[in-house]
Amino acid sequence: MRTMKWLAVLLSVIFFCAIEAAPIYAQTTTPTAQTKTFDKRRLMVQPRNADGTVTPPPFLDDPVLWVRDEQQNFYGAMSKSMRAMDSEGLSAALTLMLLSLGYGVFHAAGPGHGKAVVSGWLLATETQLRRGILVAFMSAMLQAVVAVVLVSAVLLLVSGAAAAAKDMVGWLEVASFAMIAAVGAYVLWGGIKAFPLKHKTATLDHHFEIVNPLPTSHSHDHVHGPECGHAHAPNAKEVDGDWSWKRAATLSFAVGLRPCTGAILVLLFAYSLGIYWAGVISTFVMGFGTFLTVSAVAALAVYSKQLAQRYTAHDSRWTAWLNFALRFGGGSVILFFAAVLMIASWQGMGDSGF
Amino acid sequence: MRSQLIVSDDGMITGVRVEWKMDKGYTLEALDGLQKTADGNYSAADLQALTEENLGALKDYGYFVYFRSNDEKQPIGKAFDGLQTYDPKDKRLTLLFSVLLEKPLDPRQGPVTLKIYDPEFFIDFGYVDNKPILISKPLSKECSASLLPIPKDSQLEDTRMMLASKDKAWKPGQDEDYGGLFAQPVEVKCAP
Repeated sequence: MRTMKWLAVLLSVIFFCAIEAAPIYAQTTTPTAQTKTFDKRRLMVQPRNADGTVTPPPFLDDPVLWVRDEQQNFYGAMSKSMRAMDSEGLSAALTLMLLSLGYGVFHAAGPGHGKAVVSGWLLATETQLRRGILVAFMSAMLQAVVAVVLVSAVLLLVSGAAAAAKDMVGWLEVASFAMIAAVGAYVLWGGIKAFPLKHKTATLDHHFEIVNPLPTSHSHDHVHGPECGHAHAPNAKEVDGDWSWKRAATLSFAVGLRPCTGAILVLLFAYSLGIYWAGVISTFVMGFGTFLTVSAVAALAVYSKQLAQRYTAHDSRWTAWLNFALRFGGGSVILFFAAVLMIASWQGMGDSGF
Repeated sequence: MRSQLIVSDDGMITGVRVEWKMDKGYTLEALDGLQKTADGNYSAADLQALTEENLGALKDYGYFVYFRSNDEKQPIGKAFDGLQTYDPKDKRLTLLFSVLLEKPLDPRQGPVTLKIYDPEFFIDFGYVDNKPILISKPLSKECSASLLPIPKDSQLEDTRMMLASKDKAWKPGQDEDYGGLFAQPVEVKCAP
């Protein structure tokens, strides 16, 4: 179990540093200068096989390029199977759904899909991992629903769906990022209030109250003895007081409001081929794929934090500072990225890639 | 980018030499981790290796170069004379290479067009304002090469409406792909 957690920490570092940073700075600092073999990431385009597929590098050599290439292959295979479905019927429909699952898994490793939001929220508010996974599931399914509703509405209302859908995606994107920014501001505010020097005792005694001010959650006493660590792995009862469907729904809504561009393309493509039903099912399967990735990343984040806390649990000052830093840092990061993304999507209305 | 049509002594179009100035993002990724020389540039060996690898991969995409004569697709050969330069001032790489047509085209026998575009739109190709089209030798007097203007919004709208009115089995004519409908063509035309 211990080694598992170490592995989790290592992987989470790779995931967070490499995948989240790559699309923004379009570069990473892999030390490749010394290696003799040519770094394929330097290429304008990746060499292509005769059938149009790309051979990805081994995962450990270059996780970012691996994800990018695999996603490209899934996308290519998906388009192919869409065309085949027209003539081959049910078996091709099943292939499309399987491919959509794979596409969703790889697609969610890219930017967006609430990985940072769900992980940040879990880290900052001490919520149980399974709650975070539930939120990830709800937001992935909501995202699928939004895509299906949006595309269906547009198809009903107008011809020339492609252009109109693009405009609407833009507005939903802005709204979605604004809501995420609000979540970030909320977490950040909790962090400021948890500043250890000012509210030293209050922070420790009202651990949950700061982020989630529910009066009922503090009817019992917190005793912070040497086994103080328990506060950071609360039992189910404590969490239940801290949890509400409303809050989970708000977060899921914030993440899931912006429909996945990939899903919209699948739907429009399926519609144009006259197999809209298969597109709808595939959209939900794709949502399930993105859910798997988001949950995995959230789990890695939570395990990394637990590990860090095991080393600091015996010193309450450290815990207070860590608590403050996580909330302040996590809130700032969420707020910052949401604001940047909001402004960017406002300006480049609907220009998001897939 | 810039395209230089390669013209033979007798006024035939034999190929094209392209100059592609990369954006800063790609340049950063392509050069990341390579050792800079004293003058802030990169060694010729490093740049050459990058050129060779890029041309090797671009081959699988037909170098994104599409020639047509009388609307017929024209096959091209392998790229050669690859060269890559880095400008430390604006921090951008420029790739140059040439490709030849398998058989030279005579613009007097019908218009020759050249389009450079990525059908998957992974790469956005755009011509520079200052001398986008060059010719290696003068064409015959009655012929001229020009870059046709980028389609206006209204024309794109027309294309979109046209596509919306087609049924799903419709495909662009003459082996054209959908990306080609939106690419900016260079045309060599001769007065009759």
